[in-house]
Amino acid sequence: MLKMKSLSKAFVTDAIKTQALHPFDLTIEQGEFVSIIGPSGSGKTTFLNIAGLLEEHSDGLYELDEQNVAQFTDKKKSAYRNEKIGFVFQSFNLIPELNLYDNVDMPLRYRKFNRDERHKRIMQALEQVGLAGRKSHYPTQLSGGQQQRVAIARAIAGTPSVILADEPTGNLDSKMAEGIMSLLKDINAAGTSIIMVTHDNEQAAQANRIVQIKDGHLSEYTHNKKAIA
Amino acid sequence: MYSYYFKLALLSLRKTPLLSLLMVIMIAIGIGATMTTYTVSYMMSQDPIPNKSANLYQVQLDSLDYEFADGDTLPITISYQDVQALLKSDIPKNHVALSAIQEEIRHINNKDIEPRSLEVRSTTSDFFNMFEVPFLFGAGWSEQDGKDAAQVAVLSKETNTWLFNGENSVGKTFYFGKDTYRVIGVLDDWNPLPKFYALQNEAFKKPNGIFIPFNTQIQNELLTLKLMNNYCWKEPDDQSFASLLVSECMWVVFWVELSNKKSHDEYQTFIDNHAKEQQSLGRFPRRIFNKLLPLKQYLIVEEIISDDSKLAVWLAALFLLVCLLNCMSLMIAKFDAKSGEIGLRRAVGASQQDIVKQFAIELSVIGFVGGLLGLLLAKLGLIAAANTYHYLHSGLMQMNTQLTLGTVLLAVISSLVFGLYPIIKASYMQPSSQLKSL
Repeated sequence: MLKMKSLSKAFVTDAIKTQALHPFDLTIEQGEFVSIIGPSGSGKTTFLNIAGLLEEHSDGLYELDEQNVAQFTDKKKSAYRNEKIGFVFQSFNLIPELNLYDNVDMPLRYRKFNRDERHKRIMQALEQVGLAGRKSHYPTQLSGGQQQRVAIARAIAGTPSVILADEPTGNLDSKMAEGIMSLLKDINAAGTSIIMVTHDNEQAAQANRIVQIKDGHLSEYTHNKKAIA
Repeated sequence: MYSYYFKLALLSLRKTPLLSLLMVIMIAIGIGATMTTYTVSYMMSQDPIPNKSANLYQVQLDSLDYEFADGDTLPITISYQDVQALLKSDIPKNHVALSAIQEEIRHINNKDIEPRSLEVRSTTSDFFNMFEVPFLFGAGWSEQDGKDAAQVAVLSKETNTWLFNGENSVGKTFYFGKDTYRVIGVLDDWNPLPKFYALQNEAFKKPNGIFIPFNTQIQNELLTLKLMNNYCWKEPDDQSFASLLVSECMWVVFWVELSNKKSHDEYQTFIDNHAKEQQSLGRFPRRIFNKLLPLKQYLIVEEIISDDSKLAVWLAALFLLVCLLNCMSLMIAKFDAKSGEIGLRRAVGASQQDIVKQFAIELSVIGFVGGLLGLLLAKLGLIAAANTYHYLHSGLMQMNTQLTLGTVLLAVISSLVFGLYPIIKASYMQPSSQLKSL
C-alpha cells in the first residue's frame, strides 16, 4: 500500500543543507499498524508529513497504492489525501466554530458526496467513536479525549486506506489515552492501516511493527520491543 | 459547494467581527466617495433625449465681419432677423427659436401666495413637440397663438403646484409682471439632463418654471440681458428694442429637427441660400459658413460635458485605491490568522483551488456588505450635494438603477481584485507548517 525506496528529505536554507531524513526503504502493507518512535527533532513529523503528501520528499521513490506521488499535481495530491489518508493530530485540530457534525463533514465536502451520503458517513463515524448523541455540540464543550474521538471520526468518515496519527494521545491523560488507543486498534482491526508517531513506548508496543527514527536515520524492528525499550 | 463556502464565510465574519467590520467600512467609504462623484459625472454625460438626439441640430450662422474664436467655431445664437427668415422654412419637421427672460409671477387674487421672480422660457410652438415635453393638463400653444403673440403660458408642474395647488389650472389667469396671462397647459415632470436646449451655462440648472410664446416676448419688448447670450458684434443704431430686432446682435438660440439626410442637406442648402441672399443685401460680409451642429457634438463643443467632473472621479478613485490597499493589509492579517484552518483543510483534501474559492466567497460577502453600505453613503453624499448645490439640477444627484447595481458590483469586484494577492498567498501556504497553529 505504501512503498518508500531510497527516500530522503533535506531542507536547504541559504547555503546550509540540513538532512532531515537520510535515505531509507520502507514498505507498509494494507491493514498494518506501525508505530514510529524516536526523540524530539529526530524527523518523525517530517516522515509523517511526507507520508501524508503534506510535504515533498527530496529524493527517492514514494508510491501510495502503487502510484508514484512525485508526479501528482496539487489537485491530485489533495484528492489522494482526501480519499486515502486520514489525519489525527496531537492537538486535535478541530474548528471551534463548527459543531461536531460539521467538523466530521469537512473532508466529505471536498469529496463531492451528496447530502445523504455525507449524513450517513458522518453519523456512522460519530457512532463508531461514541459521540453520535452530541453531534450538535461544539468542540469546546467536550473533554480532550472526546475531542480526539471527534478528530478520529473525521479521519475515518472518508474510509481511508491509512490513518496517520501524530502523537494522538500526547495531550491526554492515561485513561483517555487508553480509550483512544483502543479505538485506533478497533479501526485497524477493521482493515485500515495505521501509522502512529508516539513518544510512549508502551503505546508503540501495541502496534504490530515499530520503526525508530534517530537523527534522521530510519531503522525498523519487528516485534522487537526490547530493542526499543 | 458554494453554499458551503457561503456558510463558512458567515462563520468567519462572526469569528472576527471587528476586523470584518473594519474591512466593510473601508470599502464602504471608498465606494461611497467614488460613486458620489461618479454619479454626478455620469449623469452630466447622459444623452438628454436619446430618441431624437441624432435628429436635432443647432443652427449656427456666420454673419460676423471678422473671424470668431478659432474660425471654425461659431456663436451659439443667431440674430432676430435671421430667426424670422428661418422660421419660414417648412423643411424641418420642427424648428424652435428660444430665449429667456426673468419676470415676477403673482397669483391673480390670493395674497397669501408670495410673488416669485421666475426664469421664463420664451419659445416657438414646436418646442413641446420637438423636445417630447410631457403634459399633465392642456397642451402647448398653437402656431397661430404664437404668431398672434397671445398672452398664454405653459407652467411647469412645480410652478402649478405653487400657484394653483397642483390643480388643473388650464384657463386660469395669473399676473405676469403687470400683465395677465392665461394658463394653456401644465407640464408633467420634465427634467432633461443636461438642459441641452438652453444656453450652456444653464445646462445643469433647474428646469424653467414658465414657458411663453417667443412672439409675446417680442411684442411686449421683454428682455433680461443676464439670461441671454447677446453677442452684439456690431452695435445697434440705438438702445431701443426695435433697433435690437433689426441689428446684427446674435441672441436667439435656434434648433431644428431634421429626420433624415435628405432634409438635412436640403436645410443646409436653405440656410446657405439665405446667407447668400443676405450677402447680396450687405450682410454676411466675410463668408458663407453656416453650421447644423448635431446635439451631441454641441454638448462636447460647448464643454457641457466637462473634464472637471472626470478629474473629481479620478481623485475619488484614488481615494478608493487607498481604502482598498488598507483593506488588503487587513485581508492578509485575516488570512494569516486562519493559517491553522487552511493547513487543516488542505490536509483533509482541500486543493489550492478550493481554498481560493472559499476565501473569494468570503471576500465577496465582505465586498457586498461594503457595497451596500457604500451605496447608502453615496446616496447620503448625493443628498448633501443636492442641498449644498440646490441651484443645480436635482437629476444630477440621483442614482439610476444601473448606477445602483454598479455600485455594489464595483465593491464586490474591487474586493476580489485586491483580495487576489492575500487569497493566493493563503492558498500557497505550506499546510504541514500550519497544522500545529489551529
